[in-house]
This record gives sequence, structure tokens and C-alpha cells, in this order.
Amino acid sequence: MEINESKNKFMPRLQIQSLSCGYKNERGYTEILKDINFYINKGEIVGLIGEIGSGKTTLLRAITGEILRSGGDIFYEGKSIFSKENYLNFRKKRIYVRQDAMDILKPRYSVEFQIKKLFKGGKYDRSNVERIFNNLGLSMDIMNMLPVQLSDGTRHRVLIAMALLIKPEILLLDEPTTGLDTYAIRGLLELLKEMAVSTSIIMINSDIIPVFQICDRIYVMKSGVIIEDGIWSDILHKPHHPYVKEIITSVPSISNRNKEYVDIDNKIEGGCVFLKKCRHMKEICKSDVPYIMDRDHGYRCLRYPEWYND
Amino acid sequence: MIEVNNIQKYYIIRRNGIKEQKFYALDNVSAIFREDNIFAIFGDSGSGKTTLCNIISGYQKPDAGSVLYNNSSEKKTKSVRYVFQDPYTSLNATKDVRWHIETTASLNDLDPVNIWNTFELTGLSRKNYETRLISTLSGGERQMLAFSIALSQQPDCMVLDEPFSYLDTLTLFRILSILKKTKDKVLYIYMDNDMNRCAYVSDMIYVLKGGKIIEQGTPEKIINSPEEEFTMEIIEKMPDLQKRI
Repeated sequence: MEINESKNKFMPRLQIQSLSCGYKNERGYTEILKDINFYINKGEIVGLIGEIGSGKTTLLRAITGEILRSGGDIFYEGKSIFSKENYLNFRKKRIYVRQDAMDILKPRYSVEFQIKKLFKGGKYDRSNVERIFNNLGLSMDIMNMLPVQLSDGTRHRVLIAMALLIKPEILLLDEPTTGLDTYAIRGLLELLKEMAVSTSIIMINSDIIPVFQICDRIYVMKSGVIIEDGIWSDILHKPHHPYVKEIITSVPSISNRNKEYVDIDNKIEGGCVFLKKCRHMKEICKSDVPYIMDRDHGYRCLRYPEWYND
Repeated sequence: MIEVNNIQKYYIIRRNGIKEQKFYALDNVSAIFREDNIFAIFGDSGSGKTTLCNIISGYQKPDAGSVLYNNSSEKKTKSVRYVFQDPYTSLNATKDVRWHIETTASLNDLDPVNIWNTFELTGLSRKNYETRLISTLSGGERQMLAFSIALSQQPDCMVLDEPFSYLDTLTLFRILSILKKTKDKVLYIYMDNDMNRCAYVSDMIYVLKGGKIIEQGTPEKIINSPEEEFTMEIIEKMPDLQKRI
């Protein structure tokens, strides 16, 4: 199946159309993602934010093609990845950096050996490695160490450095800033910005500040659906969904030291995904909410822009 | 009140199997932690935060100096509780959530209902999580479980070693406001490598660098008029929503 090209003048590098997928186990099938629409262009950085259990990691794994879908499709340069030859081609173009570094690095081989193995013939540009290590706050001494001797944060950074060395077409990062200190976060973000010329980067992060610092477009997820997407400045300055506003105003920092957490429990469920905790709830929110597109800013709220006046 | 006086701690590093070298993880650290306050200790990775945590909670002995708990060198049992950095090794992955909470209750002569109440305070519901295996929980859920187990034992002091690194922004905000609400009952010593969180939660910040406390003060003073060069650089590079790279 190929995409209708007259519809899309500028074909995105990766496009997801109304994808639904989930996990199968002995108890049955649980659907995690419902009706996901997503695209990323060449040289773009896209951020995915959302709370624990909102399906961010599942979406990333769906993009790699690891899990089965129950509906919808994923296109890489206009071709569906769910066919054998297209998938083999797509697999070489994407790198997925997972959260658990120990499962990926070989524990009994030195870091240098594993970096050499990335390149054909074992030749690599040592100055480039040194520059990336320096930006991430790693010393060159760890080249001769084994992964079992390194701490967990260092292993994670080695893995990110290895992904940055290859320069894939699509780079998927799962929580890259967890466990890094201030210098290393800054260094990593600068490296990513520099890389995003030919590489498309999708990063998910539970801490939203780095996402707003580098991403071009941002998707917000909750309970397996996308509830808002758009350019970063639109989302930061004028969020269309109360949940997104809640996230942005409750970043822990010195300026909102005196802000108290107010627990809201409407004790009803169904309809909008944020119905239970929303302070702007009205009767209309109990019905199903469609995804509304307003130019390049999509949102899933029936009461916008009225709720700003509440 | 916990007082830390001139603490030194070193690890011996062997190079080539012959040469021995002392590496000072902590070098002449003195600090006072008083009740009704939250103390944050800020430090980069490798600055000695975890070693200081271990010494305060009694897991390691200092090589020089002393730790005083309410002016005596003897620590009352169960008065200091520790939330570990790594939620993957501090919980038993083969058991479920109910086992962890019932074991805590029987070891400390507590009512399991109280622990469940603390667990629900963090925002997880008992109904959904009671029978789930630890191996199916995500990093953030594990950290909230570990925190609620430690808090429910009603300690005098809690040492938190980067306890909320896997949490998302909204949950983090909720948990940090739990800390602020309960600070009159428990003395919190909070370690983190993110200055934003330290400034939000604490009443006093110690800045640790290379095993030494180089600066101390209230969050307003540290953020607005830092004295040391290191602190200035950290505040300049601090992640900020408005600063675009």
C-alpha cells in the first residue's frame, strides 16, 4: 500500500496514520495506543511528553516495528514498513536507544571494542569520539574499561555516544537525560542540535524542560492518545488543553516555590481522558472528543477557548 | 538534629597493582541538619553525594570525624530511613506490591492499612497495583513505592538519594509538595543533581563539589547571588523553559 502522493506534496520522512497497537499475553490483548497520527520531516527534532504509563515508550517501540498493530499503518518515505523488503531497508536507517543500557552493551568486551565494531574494518575517527565524550562529560580512560565496571549513568552515556557516532537517518531516544548532571545535559542537547541537519530525532522525556529547549514540534500524550501537538512556542505560550497548561505551570523551579498542589477529583470517568482531574469540567466533556486541527496546531478539547475565561 | 563534623572518607585506588593512591570522596565536610526543614545537597555526578548519604544513615563509617544524632554518637534504630538511588535493585522483582507492604508492616509492627494510605497519598491506587509484580512496574512507579514504604515507617529523618529521577513533571510536583507538607514531622535530607528541584523543595542548599562543601545558603541567595565560580556556571547552564538552545 502506498500513500496518495497528491495529498502530501511534501512527503515526511516518517508518517503514522491512525495506528492502534498493544501487547498480547496469556490473559488476552490489551490495546495501549489508540488512533495515533504522527509525522516527522528530515532534520527535525520532535519531542513526546506525557506522564508515566501514557504510552510514550510503546509508541517508540511501534515506530521501530517491534510490536504488532491492530490497525493503521506506518510509512517510511511513502512506503509501508509492514512488508518484508521495506522493513529490512528501514531497519538499517533507524537507531533506538533504550533506557536499560546493560542489556545492549556486551558486558565482557571493552568500550573501545564495541565502538570499533560499529564501523566496517574497525577504523574510526578518534578525535570525533573524543569530542562527543567530552560533551557528554566522559573521560577517554573508559575506552579500556568493561561495561560491568562502569556505573549505570556512565553506561547510559556510552550508549548515547555510540548512537551519535553512527548518524542514522532516524534516531529514537528514550529518556536520554535521566541520570545526567547539568553539564552533560547541556552538552547532549548541543550535540543533538548539531546533528539535526540530516538526522530526524524523536525524543521522549519525562522532564519537560530539555524538550522545550531543543524540539521543533511537540506531541503530548495521555492514556494512549495524543491530546495536543504543534510548534513548541505555540504549546509553551498558548496551550489548548488544560492538562498541558497544568504540566507547564507545575515545573519545579524557584519561581513557583509558593505554588501549592491542588488535588482535584471529579469522580467520573469516560469521555475526555483528563476528565477526572480537570478543573474546567462541564457536561459537554463527557461525550467523545474528536481531534480538532487548527492549522498546524491539533488538540483534543471541546471547551477551548472558553476554559481560559473560567 | 543531625550534625556532621569534619568528615573524611577515602577509597584506595590501586594502579598497576603496586602503587596505592588515596582518593578522597569526602574531605572535611561539616554540616548541620535541623528539624522542620528540608535540606538539599546539590552536586554533580562524582561529587560524593552517595557517600555522604551512606555515612549519615550509618551504612559506612567515616575515616575521620563524627556524626551526632541529637548530640549523641549513638543512632537510635529505625530513626533514619534511606531511599536508594536505584529502584531496580532496592526492591524484590519476583514479589508483588502486597508482599512488600505486608513485610514492611510485620517487620516494624505497623498496621498495613496505614502503609496503604501512604501509598495512595503518592497517587497510585491500591486496587490497580495490589497484585502487580515489581518486574512489571516502571521505574517511576518503583520509586514511588520505595518512597511510600520509607515514609510510612514514621522515621525522624529521611535520606533521599536522587529519589525521583524517573518521575514525570506532574507526578514530581505532587510528590515534592508531599515533602513540603510533612516537613514538620520528618527531617528530609534531599540529594539531587538538578538545581531547579533543589531550589523548589528546600529551605537550605549545600553545594558539594569534589568532596567539599563550597557554598551554603537559602535557595534565594544561591540562585540570585552565588559567590563561587562553580555555582555561577551551574546556574547559568541550568535547564530553563524560557532559554532556547
